[in-house]
Amino acid sequence: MFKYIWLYFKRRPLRILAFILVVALGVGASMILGSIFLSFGETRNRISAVNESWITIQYLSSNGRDSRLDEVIEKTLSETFGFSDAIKVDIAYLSYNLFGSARANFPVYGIRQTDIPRLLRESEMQIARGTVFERDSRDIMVSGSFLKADRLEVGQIYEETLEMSTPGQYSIVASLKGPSIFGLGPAGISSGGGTYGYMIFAREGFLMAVENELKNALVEYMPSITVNGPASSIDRIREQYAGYYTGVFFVNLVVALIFTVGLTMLNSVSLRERRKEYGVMSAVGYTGGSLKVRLLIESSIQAALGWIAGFLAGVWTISVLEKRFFEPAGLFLRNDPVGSFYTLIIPLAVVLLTQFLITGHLKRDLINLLRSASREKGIFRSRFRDIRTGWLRYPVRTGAYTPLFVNVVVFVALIFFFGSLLSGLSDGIRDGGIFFENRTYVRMADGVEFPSDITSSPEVKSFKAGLEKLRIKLLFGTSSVYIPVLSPEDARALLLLNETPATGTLLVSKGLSERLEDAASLGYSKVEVSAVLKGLSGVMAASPLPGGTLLTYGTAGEAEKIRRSLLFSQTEMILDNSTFEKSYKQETQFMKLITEIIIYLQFFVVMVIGVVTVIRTVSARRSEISIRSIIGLKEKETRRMLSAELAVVILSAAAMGCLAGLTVWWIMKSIFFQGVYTSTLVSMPTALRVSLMVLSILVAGFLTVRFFASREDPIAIIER
Amino acid sequence: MFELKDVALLYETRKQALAALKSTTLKIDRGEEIGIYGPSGSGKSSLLFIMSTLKDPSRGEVKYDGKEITALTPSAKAELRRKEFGFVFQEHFLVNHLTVRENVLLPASDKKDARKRLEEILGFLGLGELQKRFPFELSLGQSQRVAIARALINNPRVIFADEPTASLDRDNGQKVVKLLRSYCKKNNAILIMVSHSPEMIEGFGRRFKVENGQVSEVTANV
Repeated sequence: MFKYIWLYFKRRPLRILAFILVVALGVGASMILGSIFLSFGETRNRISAVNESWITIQYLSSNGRDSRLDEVIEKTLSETFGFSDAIKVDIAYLSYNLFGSARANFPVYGIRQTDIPRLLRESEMQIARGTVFERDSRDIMVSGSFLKADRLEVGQIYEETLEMSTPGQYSIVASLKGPSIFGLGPAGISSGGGTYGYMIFAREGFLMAVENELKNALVEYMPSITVNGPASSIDRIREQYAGYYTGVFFVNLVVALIFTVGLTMLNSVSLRERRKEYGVMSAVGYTGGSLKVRLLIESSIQAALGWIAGFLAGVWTISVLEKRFFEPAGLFLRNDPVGSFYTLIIPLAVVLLTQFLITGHLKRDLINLLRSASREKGIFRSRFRDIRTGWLRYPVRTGAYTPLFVNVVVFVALIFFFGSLLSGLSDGIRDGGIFFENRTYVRMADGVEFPSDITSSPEVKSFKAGLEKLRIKLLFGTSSVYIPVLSPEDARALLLLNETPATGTLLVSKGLSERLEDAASLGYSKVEVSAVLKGLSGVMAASPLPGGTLLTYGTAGEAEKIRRSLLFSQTEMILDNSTFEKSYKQETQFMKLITEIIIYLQFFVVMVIGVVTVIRTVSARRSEISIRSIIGLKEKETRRMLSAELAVVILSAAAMGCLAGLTVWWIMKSIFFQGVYTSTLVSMPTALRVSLMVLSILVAGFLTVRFFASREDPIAIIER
Repeated sequence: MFELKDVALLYETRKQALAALKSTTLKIDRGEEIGIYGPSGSGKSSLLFIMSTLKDPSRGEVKYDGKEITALTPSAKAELRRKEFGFVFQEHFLVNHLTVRENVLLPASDKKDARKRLEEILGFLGLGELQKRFPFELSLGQSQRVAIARALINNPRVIFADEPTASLDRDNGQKVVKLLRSYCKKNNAILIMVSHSPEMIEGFGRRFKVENGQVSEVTANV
C-alpha cells in the first residue's frame, strides 16, 4: 500500500507540492493574523509586566503626599512585615502609542537618584542610552519601545496632553532596555496631583504571597490604598485578553474556514481526475474500504507535511514581522508556538472532508467510474457551445480557471473593501484639517499678548478669531472640525466673498453642509455653501469676537516659522497643518499596517494559486499543445491563446472584484455605517494597488505560460 | 515531391547508439499511395515523423518540393505542416473542450475559405449533424472521422496516416482507408500510411516493409 502511495507522490510532485503549500499557507496565515491581532494585548501585557518585579502600595492624592496614609503604610510595612527598605515613590502616567487610535498608560516612578540601580536590577532593565535624571527636574528615563512608538529620541521634550495621563512636559534623558515598560524620574514627577506610595521587593516566588498578605493587612484602608503586584497584574491581563481572544478566535475561524474550503475544492478536482484509477483498482479487486484507507493515509501525509511547513513558516514570519514592522513601531507581537497548535484544525478538517468526498465517488458503479475519466466535463459546457472567440472557450467550458478566478475576485474585493474602510476611518480627520493647510490658529494664555513680530511679516495676514468645535462621526469614534469665528468683514476678506455675510451666517464647504445635524450648538442663523472652502471646513461670521488669532499665509513653510516663534510664548492652543497631519498619521497607522499585511498575504496566496493554476492548466493541456503543434499551429499562437485566456480570466475577475468590493462597502455603509464621513469611495492608492497587483499576477502567469508552452514535444502525445 | 537521401535516426544510449531507422533513401511523387508496414517498434513511425518534420533525422537529407526541410526553423516547419500536410493517427487526438466544428477548423489557415469547405468535408464524412458535439459525445469511429476532416480542411498535398485503423473495427477501419484514398486520388495528393497489418495497405501503389530500422520496398504481393 505504501509503495503505491509513494509512487503517486513521485509521479505527481507538483500537485502534492501545491496541496502542501496551500495547507502551509492556511496554517501560517492563521498564526500570523492571530499574532497581529494580539499585538495590542501583548504590548499592554508588557506594560503590566512591571508589576511582576515589585509591589507598589499606593494611593491617589490631589495635593501631594498624604502624611496620614504614608504613616499607615510605613507602619504596616515595618511592624507587620519587617520591611525597612521600602522606596518612597510618586507615580506619573504617560500614554503609550498603540498605533495612534489606542493608547495605554504606563507608570513613571518618581524616586531618588540612589534608588535607580536597585529598580533597574530588580526589573532586569538597563540604561541603553543617555544619563540619569537630575533632582527637582522634569527629566525622565523611559523604555526604548515607548520612544519608538512615539517617534521620540533621547534629548527631546515629550509633551503629554491626555487628561487621563499626567499632562505636562518631560525631558527625555535616557532610554531603558529590558522586558518591562516603565519610566523613572525624580521625586515629585507627578506634579502635585497624582499617585503616591511605596515600592517593596521580595525574593522571587514570594512576591505574590507578600502581595496577598499586604492586601489582607490593609483591607480596612481600601479602596483609598491599593496594592499592585504580580497577582493583580495576572487578573488584569486575563481581563484584557478576554476580548482579544474572542477576536482572534473569530479571525482564525474565518481563515481556517477559507483555507479548508479552498483545500477541499483543490482536493475534489484531484479526486475527480482520479476516478478512473479508483475504477481500475475496484475492477482488480480492491474494496471501497481499502481505497478509503489508502486515500486517508495519502491525504494525512500531505496535510501533516503542510501543517509542519506552515507552522515553521508561521513562527519564522512572526519573528520577522516583529523585527521589521512591530518593534520599530514600539509594539510587540505575540509569538506563542505552543498556543498555535489550534491550527491543526485545518489539516484535520481537510482530511475528514476528503474522506467524505471519496465516499461519494466510490458510491458510483464500476463502469461509471471507469468511463468518467475520459469525459472532462466542464461546468458550463452545454451552455457555451456557440462561443466564437477562441480564447474564451476553455475558460468558460471548463472549470479549470475557477480557483484563480474566485481568488482574484476575493483579493481585489478585499483591497477595495479595506481601502474604503480605511478611508471611512480617517478621511474625516484629514479633511477636517484642510482649512488649516495654509492657516494657523493661535490662542494665547490669559493676559498674554499675541507677539507682534509674527504679524509684521508681509507674508502673513492676521484676523481676530474665535474657535468653535463640531463633532463628525467616523467609522469608529468621532473627529473634530474646527470652525473659526470671524467678524463678517474678515469672513468676507478671508473667503473672497462679493458681499459681507450677515452676522450668524455659517459659511461651509459642500462636504460639511451635508452633515450639520449636530451643529445646532454653533447657534447659526443661516448656512451658505462657499466654493472656496474644501473638505470639511467652515467659517462662522459672528460678533462679538472671542479671543484668538487666525493667521493666513501663502506658503506651507510659514507654519513652521510661526510655531518656532511661538515656542517661548505662553500659548494655550496652536492649530495648523501639522496638528492634523500628526493626528491623521496616528489614526491610520494601525489600520494601514493591518490592511497592508492582509493585502500582501492575500496577494501571495493569489500569486501561488495563480501560478499553480497556470501550471496545472498548461500541464492538463499538454495533449492539446502537442496536437496544435502537430497540425501546424506555431508555438507563438499557442502561447498567445493561453495568455489571452489568462488575461481574460484575471481581468474579468478583477473587474468583478472591484464591483463586489464596492457593492459590499456600499451595502455596509448604507446599513451599518449610516452618516459616516468618507470623502472618496476609492482612493488613488487603492486603485493603484489593485492595478499593480493584477499586473503582477498577469506577468507571473504569462511567464509561466511561456516557460511551459515552449517545452512540449509534439511527438510526446503520440508516444504517450 | 519527397526525396530522402541517406536518412537515419539514431538513439544514443549509455552504452551504444541504437538505429531506430537505418540509412534510407527513397523518392515519392505527387499522387502516390505509400503503404508502410512492419512489426511494432520496427521504425515505421520514425520514418513518418521524419518526413512530416515532427522529428529531425540524425543524418541525411529530406527534400520536399525540392527544398531541404530538416534545417527549417520550428516556425517554418509548423507552417509547412499546416499548409501542406494532413495528419491522422491511431488515436483521434481531438481537443476535448472544442466542438467538432471547432476541432476541424483549428488548423485552418484561411478561416473564410475553410468555413466554406467545412460543410462539404463534414458532409463527405457523414458528420453534418454532429458539428456542435464535443469529442466525448462521439463514438470512436465518429471521432476518427472528425480527425480526418481536420486533416483535410487545408486541402493538404500530403496525408500522413499513422495506424489510423488500429483502434477501429474492421468495417470502420476499411471505411477510413477508403476515405483517405478517395481524397488523395481526387486531389492528386500523396497518402503515406503506416500500418502494422499488410492487409490494410493492400492495393496501395507502393509498399515498404520496415524491419529493425531497415526500409525496403516490396514489389511482389504481400
